[in-house]
Amino acid sequence: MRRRHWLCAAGSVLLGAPAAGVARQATAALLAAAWDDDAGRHHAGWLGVAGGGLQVTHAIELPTRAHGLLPQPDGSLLVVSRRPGQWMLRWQPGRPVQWQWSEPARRFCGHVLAADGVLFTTETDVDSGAGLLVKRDGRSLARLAEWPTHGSDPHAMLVDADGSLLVANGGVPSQPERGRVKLALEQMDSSLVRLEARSGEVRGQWRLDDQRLSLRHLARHPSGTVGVALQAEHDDVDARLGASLLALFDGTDLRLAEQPRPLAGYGGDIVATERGFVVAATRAAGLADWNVQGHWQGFTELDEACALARDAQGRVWAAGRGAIRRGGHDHPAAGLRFDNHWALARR
Amino acid sequence: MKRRDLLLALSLAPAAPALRAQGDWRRVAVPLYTPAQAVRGVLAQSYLPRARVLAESAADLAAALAQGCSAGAREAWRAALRHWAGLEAVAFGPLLTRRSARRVDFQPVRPALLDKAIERAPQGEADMEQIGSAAKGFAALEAILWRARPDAAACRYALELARDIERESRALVEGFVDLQRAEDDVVAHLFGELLNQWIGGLDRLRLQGIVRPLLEGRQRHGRPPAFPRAASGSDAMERRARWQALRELVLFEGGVVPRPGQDRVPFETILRGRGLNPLADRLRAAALAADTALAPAEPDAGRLERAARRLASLRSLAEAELAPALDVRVGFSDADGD
Repeated sequence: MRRRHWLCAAGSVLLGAPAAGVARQATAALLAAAWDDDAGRHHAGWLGVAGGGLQVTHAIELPTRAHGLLPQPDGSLLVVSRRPGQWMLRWQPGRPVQWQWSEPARRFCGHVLAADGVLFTTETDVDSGAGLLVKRDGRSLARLAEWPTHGSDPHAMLVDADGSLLVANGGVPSQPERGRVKLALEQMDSSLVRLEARSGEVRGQWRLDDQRLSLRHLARHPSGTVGVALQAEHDDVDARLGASLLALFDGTDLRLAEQPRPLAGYGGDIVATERGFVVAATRAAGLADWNVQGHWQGFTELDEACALARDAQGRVWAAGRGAIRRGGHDHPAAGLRFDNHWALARR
Repeated sequence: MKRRDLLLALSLAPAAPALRAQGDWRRVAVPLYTPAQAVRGVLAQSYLPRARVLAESAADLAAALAQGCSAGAREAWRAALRHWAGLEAVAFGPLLTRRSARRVDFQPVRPALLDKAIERAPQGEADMEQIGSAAKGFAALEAILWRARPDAAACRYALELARDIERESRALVEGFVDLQRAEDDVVAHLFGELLNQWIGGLDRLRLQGIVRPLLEGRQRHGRPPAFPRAASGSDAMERRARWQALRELVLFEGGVVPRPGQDRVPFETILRGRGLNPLADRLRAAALAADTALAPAEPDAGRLERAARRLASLRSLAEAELAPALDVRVGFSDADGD
């Protein structure tokens, strides 16, 4: 993408209003992404690949930083604010933006999931700090029901093969009025919980022995094994830098994958691949690769690696600083500071 | 200006006795302020006077409501709200540990819960502890006082609400007094919280006070923005009170060098004390730009949107440059992952 295109996109939007189309070239794959511009403004939108680079095709300016994105079959895009978030929205270029603000005693935790015609968001009860799974109307985004996640700091969700929902309770104590300050890390309690999608009934809960590992992002391999990207919160720097970045859940046991090298303790995103999982080791500046048994497959460098997606051809798309990597090839994306996640359009 | 407001204004003003003029900082050295001195300054000259004035205005509100839901009660509510907003704009120290905003300023009020609470007719602190946040505090009082004809039961409950706010205000005064007596290492440790909460305060003013109401209004197809204090028409007043409190922590406004440990030392001056004048200049410029945008008494949507952008710019600068320069890690950071 040419820098002027990006600058044009950034300058043409009003807060909360959709930008006019910026790129004019026909583009190949469309990515839904969130990013910050050079002035620190926050955006979400659609990116296309053309001429070897990325182009912003449509963008919307956001009031705060976004986190999770979910393209919908009708072409709209759901975007959720980063925790402790106050908004989620549905947006489609050329149509009015549909805002959904958090309930007064709730805050969004950054992710939305679609299942069986409804949506689920992870949220926090501001008073108690308890994690909640909130069921929302797929069209209006209105709250239909809410169930406890049996933990705190709930983050990513996933629909498992049997239709139940897996929710990662990050377990990091915080209070929304203190922003993202981590409180009382010695009381961390991270878990993976399985909830019945229709009733919220808990069907199982799993924890790692090391309670300073925060379970945050999930991906499901076609074999059924679920990969969980981890973020370490150890007080001891060496323990944090050397901590595991991947846990595997086979439906019965939750265990750590093997890891022969330190990866700086921060897994920003995860994607399932044909042979296993790739985790964005953001602070180690690269992509870590495992097979589905959890055996180490290697590491490739990518500065500020984070957002991950996999296309129909099996290629991994990874965001880095000023570039994206698609199937091993880098494309320039100057001027874009991508957020943690992105998603390929559903076609 | 009421006598109490005048006293508050005087107490918030930079101290009169001066050795040197800070305005001439290019030639006059500004001391290197320690984190403990910076926190002690804002405790002495911002938080304690503001908490005391809030407690007094909450007592006035209760006294007015003891006479019924009169026009005087509405005025007393406005004064108390203004003082609350000025104190809570940067939720620091006991405001955070007590979670005071949850106790006395939950928004929005839930009408059904409010009606139930009125029906229960609670009396005294123990009874009020049983009432949920969504039926208490300033928003509940506003909902009663701006009813067309509040009945006697509602007004009796309003009096309990005012007494509840008064109790919380007095607890806050005690909390700030205790904090002032704390050892230097404890106080120094709070400097990071102060800067973090100042950044959080900028965000709240921008999001809750401006952006969200405007966006909600836009979604309601041309109906007016959904400002939280619309019933009493107090939104502009509250925004000004919040900005004034945020402003005094960043901008140097006096003519003299603040005395370490006694006077309030704005972030701008702390930077100058460390020799970081170019950053101090940019911080000042960003704060003044926000100040100009927030100046109109009754701004229209366009001006409010401009003000929101300038608050966002100030926040970005504070997060990206001010906090690192002062060795503070930002909990409201836009920079870290999740």
